[in-house]
Amino acid sequence: MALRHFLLVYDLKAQRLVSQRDFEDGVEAAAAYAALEREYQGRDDFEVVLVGADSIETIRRTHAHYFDRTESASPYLAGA
Amino acid sequence: MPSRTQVDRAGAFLRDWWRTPVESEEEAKFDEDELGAAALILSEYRADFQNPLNKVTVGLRQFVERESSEVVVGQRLKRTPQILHKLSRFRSMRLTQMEDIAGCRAILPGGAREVAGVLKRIRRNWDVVSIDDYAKAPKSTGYRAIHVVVRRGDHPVEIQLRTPGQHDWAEAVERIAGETGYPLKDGEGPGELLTYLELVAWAISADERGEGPGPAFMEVLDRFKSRIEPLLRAR
Repeated sequence: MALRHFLLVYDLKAQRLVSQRDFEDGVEAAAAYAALEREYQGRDDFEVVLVGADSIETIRRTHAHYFDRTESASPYLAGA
Repeated sequence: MPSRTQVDRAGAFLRDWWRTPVESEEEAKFDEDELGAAALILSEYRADFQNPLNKVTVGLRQFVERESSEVVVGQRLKRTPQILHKLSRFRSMRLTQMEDIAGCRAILPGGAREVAGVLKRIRRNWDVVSIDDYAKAPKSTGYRAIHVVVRRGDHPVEIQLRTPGQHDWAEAVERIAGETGYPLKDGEGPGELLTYLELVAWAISADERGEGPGPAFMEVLDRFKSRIEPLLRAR
């Protein structure tokens, strides 16, 4: 199983991903990560993050808050 | 690669810069070149965690495959603002002491039993530095999970093992923190919101143990929910 790497930019205000770049090489991804962070430095409404998994579908679950706005499955969190 | 001394010096310098107010006189005193050099050392230091992290993630997947019907494993390299924030919160921490620069997590659909199985495999096969059982002793925020730090070569890598309920809660907190701008994970924000989240964490955990909270508890929770609704639109 090869890992894939995803460099994400999340807009906290708009509450959505604004960019996603995919990498097969983790070291290349880490270099791109630092470069992109420099671009976004001081812009507090954006989060730049490098994640990895077998697929982006898995990241949608392990790092769900960067993706859909669907409500939590928990009845205790419904509406929050 | 920068030496550990260089890394710690860069970390201390960046921490001082991070702590000064944005666009203040003090901030203007920081030398641009020096800041750039320190940032470069930090990014090189972090990038060096990528391969050890990949190996731990792939290994963790194999352990999960043996314990669970489903493999949900992901990793991340810590964001630079989060690294600087952490250095600022824990003033005596050196950058080379930070153990969660590389992190991966598994969500185990079978719950606590599967978490225990994966933990056993980690202990049997890997060089374990520390185990924090926040399922048994939750953080004050209500956060629950088991955190394991393993050593891979020279690098610490943090592994988070979560049940679906624990994960659901943690992701909801991330989401609400992002929306409202409150650093809820640090236990900071409006008291009623923090209490509400802590109560929810307790209820989810009771549910997963098969001891669901009663109607009296739900009434309290509903009352809190109506009071925090305006807070959720703060940003």
